[in-house]
Amino acid sequence: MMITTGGDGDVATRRLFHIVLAVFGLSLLLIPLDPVYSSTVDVGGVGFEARVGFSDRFRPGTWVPVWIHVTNAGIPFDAHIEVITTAGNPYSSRQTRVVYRRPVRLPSGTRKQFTFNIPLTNTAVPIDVRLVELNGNILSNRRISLRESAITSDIVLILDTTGEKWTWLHEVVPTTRSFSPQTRVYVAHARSETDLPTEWVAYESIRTVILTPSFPIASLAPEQITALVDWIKAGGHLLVAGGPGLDLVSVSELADRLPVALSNASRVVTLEEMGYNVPPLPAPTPVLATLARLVRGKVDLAVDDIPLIAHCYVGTGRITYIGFDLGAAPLRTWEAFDYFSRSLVFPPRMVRRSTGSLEQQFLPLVSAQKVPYPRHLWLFIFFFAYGSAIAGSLRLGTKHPAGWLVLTAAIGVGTLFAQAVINTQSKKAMKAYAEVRVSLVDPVSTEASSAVFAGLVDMHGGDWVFSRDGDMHIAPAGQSVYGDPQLLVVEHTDAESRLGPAPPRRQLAVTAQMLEEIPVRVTVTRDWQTITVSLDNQTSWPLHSAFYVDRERWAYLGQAGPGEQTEASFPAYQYMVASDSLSPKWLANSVASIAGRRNPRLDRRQLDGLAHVVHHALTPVGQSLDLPWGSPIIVAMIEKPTQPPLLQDVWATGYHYLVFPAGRD
Amino acid sequence: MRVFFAVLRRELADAVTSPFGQRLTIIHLAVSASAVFLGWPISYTLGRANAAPTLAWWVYAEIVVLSYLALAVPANIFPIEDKIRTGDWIVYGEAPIWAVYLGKTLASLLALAFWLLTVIPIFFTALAISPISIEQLQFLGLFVGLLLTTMVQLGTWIGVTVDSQTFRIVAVDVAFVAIMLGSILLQSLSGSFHIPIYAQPLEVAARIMNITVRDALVGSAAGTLVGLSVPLTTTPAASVSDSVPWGPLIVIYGSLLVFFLALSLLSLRQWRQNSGKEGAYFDPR
Repeated sequence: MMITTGGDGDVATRRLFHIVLAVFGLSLLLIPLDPVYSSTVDVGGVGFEARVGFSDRFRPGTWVPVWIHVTNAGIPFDAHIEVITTAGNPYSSRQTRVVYRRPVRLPSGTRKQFTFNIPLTNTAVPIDVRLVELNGNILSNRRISLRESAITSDIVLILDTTGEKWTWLHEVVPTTRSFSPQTRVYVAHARSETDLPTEWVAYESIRTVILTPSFPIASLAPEQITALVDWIKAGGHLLVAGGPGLDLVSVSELADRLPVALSNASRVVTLEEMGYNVPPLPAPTPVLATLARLVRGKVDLAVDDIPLIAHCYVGTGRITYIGFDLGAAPLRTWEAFDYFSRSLVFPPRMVRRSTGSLEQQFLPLVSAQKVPYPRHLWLFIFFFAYGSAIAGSLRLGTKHPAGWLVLTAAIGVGTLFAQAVINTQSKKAMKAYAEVRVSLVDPVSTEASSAVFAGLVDMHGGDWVFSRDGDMHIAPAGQSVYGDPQLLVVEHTDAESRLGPAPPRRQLAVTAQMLEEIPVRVTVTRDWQTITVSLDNQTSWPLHSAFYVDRERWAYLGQAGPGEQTEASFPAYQYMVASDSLSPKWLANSVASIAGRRNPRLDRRQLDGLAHVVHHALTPVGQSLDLPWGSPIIVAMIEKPTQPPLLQDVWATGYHYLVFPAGRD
Repeated sequence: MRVFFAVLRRELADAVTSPFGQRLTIIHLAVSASAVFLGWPISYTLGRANAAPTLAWWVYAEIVVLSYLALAVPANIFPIEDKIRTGDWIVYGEAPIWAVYLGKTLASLLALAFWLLTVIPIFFTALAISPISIEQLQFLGLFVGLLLTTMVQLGTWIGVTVDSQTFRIVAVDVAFVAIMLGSILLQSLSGSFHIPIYAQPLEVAARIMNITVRDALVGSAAGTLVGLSVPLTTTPAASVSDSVPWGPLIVIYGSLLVFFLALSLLSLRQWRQNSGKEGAYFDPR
């Protein structure tokens, strides 16, 4: 039976190719179809409210609590609460939309409060807070403008049920010493325990928390107390405005860290002098003071051996204790009252930590790391060999049945090769090591403590996974100096954070806030015209090409092996130039140039990296920086750490840096 | 049953072992390998979300090529020597309708399976660089199976109904474009009624792989992060079944499948009826 006549095979082949190409082209039409169909549905019985910050105020560039109240008087249902923010340069069209999502269960009659702690840097774009059904329907949406809420003033949070105490801090201070006429302070009040967060990062907007006797501190949940203490350790300032009525007996976690041990008794004492740097009170003023005993720290004011004002350091933060009601009427008329009270609220020499600076200064280093995938050449060879085997076996199969066996074997061998070789190599390629260590030096010591972002990122199920500790907070980078949002992440679970790409994926950013001791001791001393910088390396890593850098000068410290110390002295005037004209870029290039001359082993890439580090460490990018422009720092290069978390099979970039802000004695 | 196996063997041989069938195998292999090779990233920058689009490209290439082949093979549009058309089995071979229909459908599906088998190592290569979960793979297989079976039914109907080879080629091309673009239209219209129906094959595949079509084709874009805040709160990963509307999908493709199956059987019955009439059959080729 001969019915079909053979056609031109070549023409048909070309036709098939054309069709495939045309369909690929047509499939591009799908691109605009991305937006997900969503609708806002008004559902009876559901109440949904949201607010941002403390008393609707926050400092941009910090972690901010978003408080969400949900009530459900209708049928029970499960949903998601989403907070949608925009990160990235507000003047750039490429901004990252960040969705923070949490599943919620809302039985009938429920009334719940949820708190999302999120970093807010872009205040030009409002945030959306939404209640979304599991099928994607938006039940409720609240859009919150950040323009009015974001303030650059210092925010003081008063824990006070009346909402009336310490309100004088609001006022502009035109004449007092040390404060410019423009000095403004925003006072926020927390009236109950529901106004306080459960994670310390949420306090980042706050300069000082003032605890008043009226606040039911004992009713706080343990995690709220822990959050407050952790925030103090991380650089916060708690002012315990004591006086009769303050009850810390049941809050031992806080009471044990106060500079004084409180008793239940109180007595009237007479105040006359308030300190050597303020004028005396116009007349002896009787106040009711709580009896207390100094247990740590320092007494700033005492009468009759009763410590009335004392302070101590907790971590890098501080707790100040006032044993009487500072706002009592007689004191308010004192001419130096304003200055005195502000000096207590804003004590000098506070080390302020800011996650914002981590994002802004050091993330570009991390984000710039490139990790190669296996080369295309090997892939091409494999595909070519496999294709040839299949073609050969097909041809053989038409002549001899063994051809089909060969074809089966080719598929089997190809699969084995893909699994055993390509899969293994790809897994190696999908590991990366990212490390930025930022050390801070307590002003009263020379030992460096550090905030660390370091670890392996690994790919699991299409997501980059960064193993982390439970107390590490990771957030999308805010406003990058380069305009585009940097790095990544994305999903927190108990033990890990998912770095992007993750569903629905995309540009992610990581910053981390984990405090860890790096045993490197830095000492900077100045003896008239000579500056001496010493670096004691107690790590297990050899430090290469350590530099002392500030805005005006740099000095090469050389190498320091594990357990070794290196020191350099130089005339203070030697490198002194007009500080305003010395750009960070110039300094960075100088440092890289010197490093290259002193250490020929360093290649171009490492020197560029070094210049990059110095440049970023010196570049001013915001107000709330750990390292203000010109802060002296130590930059040292380390080889691949052999300690965990770096593993042997990681394709790392080859250079890592330690950056220590160098304190001066 | 003997006829059924004869149809099956002949159709399978035409699709796979004939010279043109071998050429199709190599072309398919080349397209598949090219998708993976071109989608294979050179490097990634840690600071940017650059999902390797490799697997997505491979899946898209496979869906496009196999969908077309699922139409073309049972529609008999390829220039294969000594090709026996569907109706000829009935007219000249006096084969039962069910044997012809089942033999042809099964042969087409087996040919597609063979072509998929030959690219398994390439699939594993793509999977290595952009892995997805077993659940996603299962759903992907389920959907591709449903899609290809439907396409085979449509192709069978075209092959049975359209006499001229030129018209069959046109019909296959039109049907292919209609499925691909018609589903986009359906998707767009469904959006205005607030009932999203994602029936477009590439869109469905993207949703199963938890990416967007845009991301798959033009790389990752600035977009959305999920579940960030709330440290120490476990957010369950979204299930594939949540993002893909399986109900409407099965209804749409299932109804198409049944519809064209019925049409094919009716057309075959017409062949059977016409075969009894002298001179009723006309071969235009």
